Amino acid sequence: MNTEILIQAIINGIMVGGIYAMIGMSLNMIFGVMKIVNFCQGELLMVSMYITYLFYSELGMEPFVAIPLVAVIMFGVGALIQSTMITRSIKEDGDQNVLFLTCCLGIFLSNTALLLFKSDYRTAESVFSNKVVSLGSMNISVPKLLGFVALCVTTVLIFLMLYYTKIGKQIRATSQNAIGAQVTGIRTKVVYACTYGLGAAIAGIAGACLMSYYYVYPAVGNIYGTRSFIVVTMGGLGSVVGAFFGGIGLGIMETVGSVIVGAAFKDTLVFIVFILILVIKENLNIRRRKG
Amino acid sequence: MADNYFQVDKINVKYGDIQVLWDVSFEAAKGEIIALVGSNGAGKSTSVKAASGLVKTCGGRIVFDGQEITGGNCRSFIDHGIILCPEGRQLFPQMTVLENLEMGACSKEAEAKKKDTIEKIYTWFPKLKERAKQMAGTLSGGEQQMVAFSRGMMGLPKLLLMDEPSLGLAPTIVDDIFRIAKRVSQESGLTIVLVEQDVRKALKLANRGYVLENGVINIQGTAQELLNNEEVKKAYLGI
Repeated sequence: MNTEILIQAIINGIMVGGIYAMIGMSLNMIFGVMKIVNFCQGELLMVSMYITYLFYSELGMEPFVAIPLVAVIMFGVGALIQSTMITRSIKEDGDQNVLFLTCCLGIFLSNTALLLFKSDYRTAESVFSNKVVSLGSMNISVPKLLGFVALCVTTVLIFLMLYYTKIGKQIRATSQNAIGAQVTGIRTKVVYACTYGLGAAIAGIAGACLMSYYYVYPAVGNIYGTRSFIVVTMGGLGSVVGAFFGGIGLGIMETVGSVIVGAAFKDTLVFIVFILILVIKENLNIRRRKG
Repeated sequence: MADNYFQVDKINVKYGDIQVLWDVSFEAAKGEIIALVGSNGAGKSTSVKAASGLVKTCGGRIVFDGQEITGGNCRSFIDHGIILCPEGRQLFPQMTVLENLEMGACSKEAEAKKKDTIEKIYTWFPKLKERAKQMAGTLSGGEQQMVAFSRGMMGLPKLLLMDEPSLGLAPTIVDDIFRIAKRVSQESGLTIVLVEQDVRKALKLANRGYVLENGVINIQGTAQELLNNEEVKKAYLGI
């Protein structure tokens, strides 16, 4: 195989992986703090894509300009979902309620989208759409590059927030020890609402970026929801850094895979690798526990 | 007998359908140290959890400094000056010792006096100053208990509830912490409610004590009375 094609595939993979990384990070953030697996993360992405689309179609707003707006709206939506529904469904003796709730919420959201927007594919034209920068013989799509930049900026901002702001420290404290958080006067309900809100906001940023080169339809969340679980399995459940590299890894796997086995089989390849990782990781864990 | 600075009056606590506390009452005067003692599962921990707002009571009243505070959550109890050092320390393992301490400064006043309080804590436990930048999870059990006690003190409590501070620790470290607790209590009028399995140690520190059995207070009196009580001797002191 031609090395140039391979390098091009890897670069594309990194760019595509940025979106996966963001969704994985948002999922991990919620899991790390609240210990709940959010099954409607893909649908939150879908909702934010439609919001971006509406900003574009109604106000003619550029998707990349809409990023902060979408993030703020999604933060509100997330905080509302957490404080009105999820917090009420948490039981002391198990999390199956939350699992069902977020799962149903996902179905509800995608069907509401179907009702409102029909199943048409919709796009939002960015001034950067179809623009390409060339580095020697390599071509990089500008919207994807901007999406990747957005990922890096988001990641840095999240870290600064977690380590240097009051609410960030409270989020870390709560994730490390919820009882310790309560006895130091942290309002854990506020922390949970903020965390879920942040998770939704990160999905919002990803959605707005994605809208500049991809199309939205009611079931688009499925693709990314499933991918996000692969990302967190590769990077480690609960680890924000792990999700970053897990996402990029998955992106590279997809693009390089489609060069090697062809685009039709790239998903098969991804899932085979996913299953292998699960099996090998578990075996290593068992061996480590024995040794 | 104590004036009613802190008064827990006939509280009941249920976990689901199971009732674990039955009309439990205890009280403390300002600056007093009282001990709740008893065997495993007697309801000591639940009593202080209820007295700090961590678990909800059903029936009964909790009065502090003339104000009824029944039914509040942990945060509202903290705002009144009641702070719990929980069982098992409950530190933030991936935060430094200093960060753990800083998290304890919850109220505006505590936040403003943060630096002074930390300096004071370093004079009590010089070891914590050495370990300030170390992750709390990497400390020894004794050092972790020092952090837990200090984190509680960072909130400038008027009433400190200590749940099993001796659990799994070397006796000398427990003595250190008790000595400092007593000194702070004498110097600044801090009221302390201590929960302990080590009955002898607890009654040496406390002015008065309560013996809990199966969620009910059975015996109460001054520390000396309890140490001389035949039942207490037989059941808890092994005499």
